[in-house]
Amino acid sequence: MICPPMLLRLRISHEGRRRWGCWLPLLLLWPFALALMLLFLPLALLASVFAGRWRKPLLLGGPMLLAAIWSTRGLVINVRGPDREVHVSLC
Amino acid sequence: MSDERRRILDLLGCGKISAEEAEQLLDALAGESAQGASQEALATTAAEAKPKARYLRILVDDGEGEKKEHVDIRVPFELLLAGIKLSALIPKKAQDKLSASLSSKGINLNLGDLTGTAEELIESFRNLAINVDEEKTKVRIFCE
Repeated sequence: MICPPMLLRLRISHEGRRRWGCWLPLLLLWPFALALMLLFLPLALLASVFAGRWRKPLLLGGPMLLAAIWSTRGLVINVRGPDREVHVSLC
Repeated sequence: MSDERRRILDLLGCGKISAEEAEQLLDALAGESAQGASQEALATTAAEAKPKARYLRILVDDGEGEKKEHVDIRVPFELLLAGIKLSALIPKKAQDKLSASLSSKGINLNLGDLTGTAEELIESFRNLAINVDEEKTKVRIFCE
């Protein structure tokens, strides 16, 4: 089972300025995301009846997008230039 | 029967070697094959025990001195797999347009084919290692 990312760590630093960083608790978002999905599920099912060729994206788009977001756990992006540094990590 | 074994027996049959010599040679051959088998088994066990790579790591160093730029990206394989699977939702017409556009730039890539073999593709990525060393630029792509 894939475990979703719980924390987003963001750090930005410019030369000569104070370093800025934050921790975003993503774990608080997942109950809302789940509630939204459950809310939109009947609508998506209803729309898919009339959707024609868009049926597949309508039905699978939400869960697959959510699966992709959940798979971001462990993603680390660190870019360091001559005068600035950006660090993003999901854990 | 192995070739070596047959050859020893042929030599014995021709009378070129004695029965004792043939026995010694056969014993030595049996010892070698047992050692080879155990080494093979060891290699298989080591490969199985090796933890499966979970991330694709991309390291880029560009420039020198104060103008040096460094990029370090670690992408989970699960994310790559999810991305490829998600691309299956792109409508067929858009996929065809994308493939045509890519092939005009010399890249023959069909998203439809890609989604069918996504898992195999990711599995083959797990042993990937690319090193590019240029004068001021270094690129490393590997799995961890």
